[in-house]
Amino acid sequence: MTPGIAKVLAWSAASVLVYALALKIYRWRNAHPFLIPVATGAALIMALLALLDEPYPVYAQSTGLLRSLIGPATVALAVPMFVQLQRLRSVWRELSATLLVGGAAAIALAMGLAWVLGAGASLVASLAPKSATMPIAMPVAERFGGQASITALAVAVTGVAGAIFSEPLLRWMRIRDDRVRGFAAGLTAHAIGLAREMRTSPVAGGFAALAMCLNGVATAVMVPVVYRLLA
Amino acid sequence: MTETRSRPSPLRWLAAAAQFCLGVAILLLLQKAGDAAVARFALPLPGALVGMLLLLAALVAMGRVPRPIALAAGGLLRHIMLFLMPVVAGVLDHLDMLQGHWLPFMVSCLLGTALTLVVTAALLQRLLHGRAAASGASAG
Repeated sequence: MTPGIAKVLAWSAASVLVYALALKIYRWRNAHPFLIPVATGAALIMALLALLDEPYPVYAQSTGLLRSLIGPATVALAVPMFVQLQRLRSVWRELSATLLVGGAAAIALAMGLAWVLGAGASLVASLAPKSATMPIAMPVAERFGGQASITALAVAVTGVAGAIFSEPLLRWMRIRDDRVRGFAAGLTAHAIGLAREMRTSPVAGGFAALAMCLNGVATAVMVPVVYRLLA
Repeated sequence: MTETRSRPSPLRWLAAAAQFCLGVAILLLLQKAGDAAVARFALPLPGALVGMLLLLAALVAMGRVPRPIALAAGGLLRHIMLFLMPVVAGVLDHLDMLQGHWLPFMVSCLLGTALTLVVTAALLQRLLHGRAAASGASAG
């Protein structure tokens, strides 16, 4: 079953308009982490679907064009990564070691805490890559039996939590180095942490951007390794 | 082209639009190449991620970002949340997976995130601090 051209046009246009509105709200409220456009926008779409009594699968099929741009956008992450790699070459040893340990900790904590508290295999897989940026986390989780939309929810909650926790936690740890702060936030809280750190300082923003890209790659490589070890 | 410098001319806008489209086409091709590599070598990675690594290798080899790639990457990354929104909106259809499992989900997301932040920040702070103290270099 494929949706008609009218539905494709209507739902694609509605998505763009809802996104523009969500973006406007986000900027108006000074980029508060609770108001990231992907979350408010999705909530508005869900309300719209309920209101019009439209089943989600019809909406999903009608917006295939938008979804098909996730792939090219993921490839595009190489550009900020390249730019940051040029700038941050002097501390690459420290960053590599931190990436390995921090990336592994993110996966182990996500899976371990959920498993200890009784989550099933599918939920554990959905949570495993949640510190990675959404377009990387979703296919990684699906490969190991996770559900993409649950992963998206976990990624969003993780990002919001990371963006809110980073400031008080690092103050409590007496860490004032913007490089450390940016890298920790980008590794843990991907694009939402990055958005937060760009408002802190350019140094924190640069380190957050690099950490987000690096941890996307690290997560995609390490989650299969974890599953091989568990098998 | 000097007279078009002060205000955007339709011609210049068209040229940028063409470069943007070329850039998106290149990114799409790289994703397809990544998909093909994943299928051919049975890699446990998303195809787009392999495409990203291919692009990164190409950028390192060139030593700069060509304008079509820069334009396309900037535009797509700025609005990546728009492309992800339709997937996130499907969360209601899968919420039954969290039925009775909200506790592990939230603990994993909140406590796991806080601990990851602490581990990452503590390690990098120690590594950078040790290095700066040993070499006498100042932090940036």
